[in-house]
Amino acid sequence: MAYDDEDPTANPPPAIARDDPSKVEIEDVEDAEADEAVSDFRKFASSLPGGGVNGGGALKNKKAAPHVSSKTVRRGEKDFESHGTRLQENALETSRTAMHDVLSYTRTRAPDNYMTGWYFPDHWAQEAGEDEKPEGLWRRDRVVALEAEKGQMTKSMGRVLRGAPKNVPGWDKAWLLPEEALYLVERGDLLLRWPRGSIEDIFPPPEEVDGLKREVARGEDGDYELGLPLSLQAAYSLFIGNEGDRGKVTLEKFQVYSQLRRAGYLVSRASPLLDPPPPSDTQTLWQRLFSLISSPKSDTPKSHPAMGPLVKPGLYRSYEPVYHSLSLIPRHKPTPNPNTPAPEGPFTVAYHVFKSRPGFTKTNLPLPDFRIAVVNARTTDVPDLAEMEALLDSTPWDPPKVRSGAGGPGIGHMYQRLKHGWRNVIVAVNDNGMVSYLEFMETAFGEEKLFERFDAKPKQGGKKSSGRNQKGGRGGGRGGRGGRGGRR
Amino acid sequence: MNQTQEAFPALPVPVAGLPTGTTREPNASQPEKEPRSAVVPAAPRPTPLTKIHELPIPIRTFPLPSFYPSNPLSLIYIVYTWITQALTAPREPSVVHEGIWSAKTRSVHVVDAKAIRALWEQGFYGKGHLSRSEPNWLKREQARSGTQKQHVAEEYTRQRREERQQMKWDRARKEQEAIRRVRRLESLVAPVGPMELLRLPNSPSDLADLLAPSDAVAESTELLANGQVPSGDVSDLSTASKLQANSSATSAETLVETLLNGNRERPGTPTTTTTTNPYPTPPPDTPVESLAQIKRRKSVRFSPRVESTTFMNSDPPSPSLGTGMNGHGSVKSMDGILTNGAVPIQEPSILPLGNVTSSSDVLPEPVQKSPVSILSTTSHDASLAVVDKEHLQLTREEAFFLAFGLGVLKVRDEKSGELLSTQDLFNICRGYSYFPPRQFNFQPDDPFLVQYAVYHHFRSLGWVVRPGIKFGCDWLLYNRGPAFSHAEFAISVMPSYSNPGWKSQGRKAPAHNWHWLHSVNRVQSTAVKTLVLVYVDIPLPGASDGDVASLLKQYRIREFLLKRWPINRRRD
Repeated sequence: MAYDDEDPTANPPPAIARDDPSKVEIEDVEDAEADEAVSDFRKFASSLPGGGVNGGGALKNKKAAPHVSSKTVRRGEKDFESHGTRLQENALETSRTAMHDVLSYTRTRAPDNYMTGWYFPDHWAQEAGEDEKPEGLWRRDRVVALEAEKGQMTKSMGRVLRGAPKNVPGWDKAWLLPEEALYLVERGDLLLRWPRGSIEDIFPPPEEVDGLKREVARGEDGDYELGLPLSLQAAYSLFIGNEGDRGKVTLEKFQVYSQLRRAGYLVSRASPLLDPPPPSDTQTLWQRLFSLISSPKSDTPKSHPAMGPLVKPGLYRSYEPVYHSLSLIPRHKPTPNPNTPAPEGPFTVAYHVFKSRPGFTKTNLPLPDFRIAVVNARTTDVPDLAEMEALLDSTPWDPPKVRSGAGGPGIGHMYQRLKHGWRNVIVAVNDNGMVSYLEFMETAFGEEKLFERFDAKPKQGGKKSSGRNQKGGRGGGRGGRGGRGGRR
Repeated sequence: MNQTQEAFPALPVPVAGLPTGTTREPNASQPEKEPRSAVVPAAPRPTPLTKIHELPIPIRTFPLPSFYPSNPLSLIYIVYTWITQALTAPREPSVVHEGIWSAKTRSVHVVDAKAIRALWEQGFYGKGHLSRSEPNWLKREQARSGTQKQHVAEEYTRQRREERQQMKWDRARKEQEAIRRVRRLESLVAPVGPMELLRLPNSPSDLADLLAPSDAVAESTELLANGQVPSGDVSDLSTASKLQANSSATSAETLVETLLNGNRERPGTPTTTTTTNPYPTPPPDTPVESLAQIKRRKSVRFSPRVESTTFMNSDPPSPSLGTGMNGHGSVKSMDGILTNGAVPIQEPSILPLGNVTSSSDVLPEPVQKSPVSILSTTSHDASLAVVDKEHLQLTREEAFFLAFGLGVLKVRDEKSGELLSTQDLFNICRGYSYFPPRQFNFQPDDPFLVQYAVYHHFRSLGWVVRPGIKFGCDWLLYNRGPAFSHAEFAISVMPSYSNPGWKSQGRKAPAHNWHWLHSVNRVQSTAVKTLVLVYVDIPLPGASDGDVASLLKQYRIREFLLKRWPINRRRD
């Protein structure tokens, strides 16, 4: 069973011994291992209530417990070829039966387990008018009003628009964005309804609320008088639209949204409210004075011999001046406050993603852990320099935390700093539902001057340079990874 | 030209019995080789890598000795050093190497042996044209002919690969053994399942078919006849094969093919083909002709020893396995001879399959007349016989950096033999980055210029930059060099035309689709490298085109790192 995120290596390499603990690599290795494994329906089936492999056909007759939908299929091991043993045949057969049972499981919902939402596509657009302040609540895009908030899901979805005047009907209801509503409908958590009348019929203004009237409105099949229930297909056709359509979401974005939600993240539409203020360039007086005295050492010397050699023949006491004269092409220096125009088009941060954590409230969002832009793999290309700069400069300043300086204990710290980068963003490349997530980091090799280590060497190693020799053996240790032709 | 390889670092002490020149399997017969290692002169203790690659660039620095306040004498030492250096005035770069521009290979050749070593050791420039990376063809030749016991990186790589292969074989064999064990256990249980019942014979004729293969088993075990397969095992196998009896024909064929082709890439087939035979019987429903055929071909496998499947250049073109193919008789006799064990083989390196060849009476005695064997027996003088035919190839970027940046290389024209000026070399490099080469009409986005900007950028920061075509990228970045560690970063160069002037001209960088990016990134993550997209912002064509330094200053370089973001691993 092939998965889209499967690694091409049949055998992931064992953890690599290095002189410094580089977490990133080991994570990658584990990642490869996790990707390798395949869904094991037997374990999943046995996790279902009253299920189990032996339960077999009895499974689907059991009444569904509410927590079933929160379970996901775990992954097991795979065989590559049939080797004609009964053991293997039995395992395959049980797996098949388990998968069949899982797929034929009847999912039901008790009435008190789902919410009801009403579709009002133009309500807030009319109320808010054209001049919506960039408040980051996406008020004009909120198209579904929840009758009552219920369950875990609403902890991170829907917003009551506090700023709205109290005479507006539905002001005290939680309003959903299209992707949230569609996701809830897909999960079976939301019964979506199309209102027959206006919003006042369903959510009467506060002064008219006397409880009695609403009771009357909800008669035997009273909901049908107010509005029709909508199918999942109807929900898709209502909520999926093109880029820029108000009250709709593109299919690519919705797929990314629901995949992130199902993977356990909390997702909110990117809003400028969540970006931390850029760090101000506060220099103390002393720093400023100091910078006046010692004119900053420019990376590129003023004059170069036009026809080389850049390194003028002569006596050199250290490698620093040699490399200084080699420095010709201007190096990028990351700044916290770039003057790049705001990103346009698909390469814009679409979602803010949070790791699930206790105490998360949708009204008081913390700083997002990740920022995700969603692009279509078929209609866009790898971003060019302008798009890349604009996208990354729209994300907050996030310089590497690891201590800088050439005197670090190993090259690993330098690698870590370079790999962390100064800004980062995730681009979800959506190819018709297959989503690949790539993390782009703005890095600056010019900030890490490798040549500064060359002069430090004789001091550390001494005359024998025996300490260095041990380091030389590292390459061999890594080369010995079994199972693959790997790095060369 | 663009191949890159990391030399295996020198081991502190060479292992005594390490096979250097021969390409035997580890499980191949060892004894014949032992006397040879005595003849080979013991290798001197290898120079530490840090000593060999002491200089990061071909320029030596003369740091003043440090001053210790506790030791006043150190001050005198500093003064003394300073005075001597001032008097002798070491001028770096002390040596300017010479290269030849070769239009045919579009690269610069360095033929002087000293220059080759210097350029390789001091910054890892270029590539030996007969080697994967380090120009060590001569060393390899000497090691191969056995005249000198040396550390050759390629040898270690090969050896490591063999070990890995062996490990995979062993693993596959263990899996197969486990499966066979399960099968045997299951065969002891009476057939109850529907498929097993269907497989049972329906009529006496079916039964006869089923019984026929067992004769074949008896026959083949006779062929083996050397007591290597325990008889109990054989009987077990025959009963087991009656029950499951599928796939044995195909597996037998693949086994034969594996042995004949020397193809060791099949993990599914066990190595111990010669000692135990997992599928002795063909399936009962096989026609008689194919049965006979299988029997005949199968006989090849019954050699009591595992043959080497690695072939040297000096090996005979076709190992005479053909005698073994002809029929049972010859195989039997061959086995008989071989198990006596007294086959004198003098030159294992020349005859990895020598036991087969030498045992047949048709061929002459195994005293070889080939020049290599004579050389190797007459020991040391052989190194004189091998002439170093290798030269160093520098890519255009490397050559121009050495000439323009460091000033340690002068390039001569191939035809006229005259020294090329830096400007001439620059123009040649730019022109030859097109096909057909251009003489004029140079653009600021010449492929050479864009690549050179990146090369110069990273070299000027102290990285060792090597071509990365093997990894699907443009350059690889090494810290200190490939002899020390693996490359950490892989560079993909992306030209960029963000200047408004370019936009008005309608110039755009070639678009890369996401599939390209993912495939490149996948390759890098399998090789545990990190992909870096390096955007080179190209300036508009201007007046300063002639001046190399000020032209290069107009390029802008931005680096963006790329990593997969596995959705399931970042959740904590």
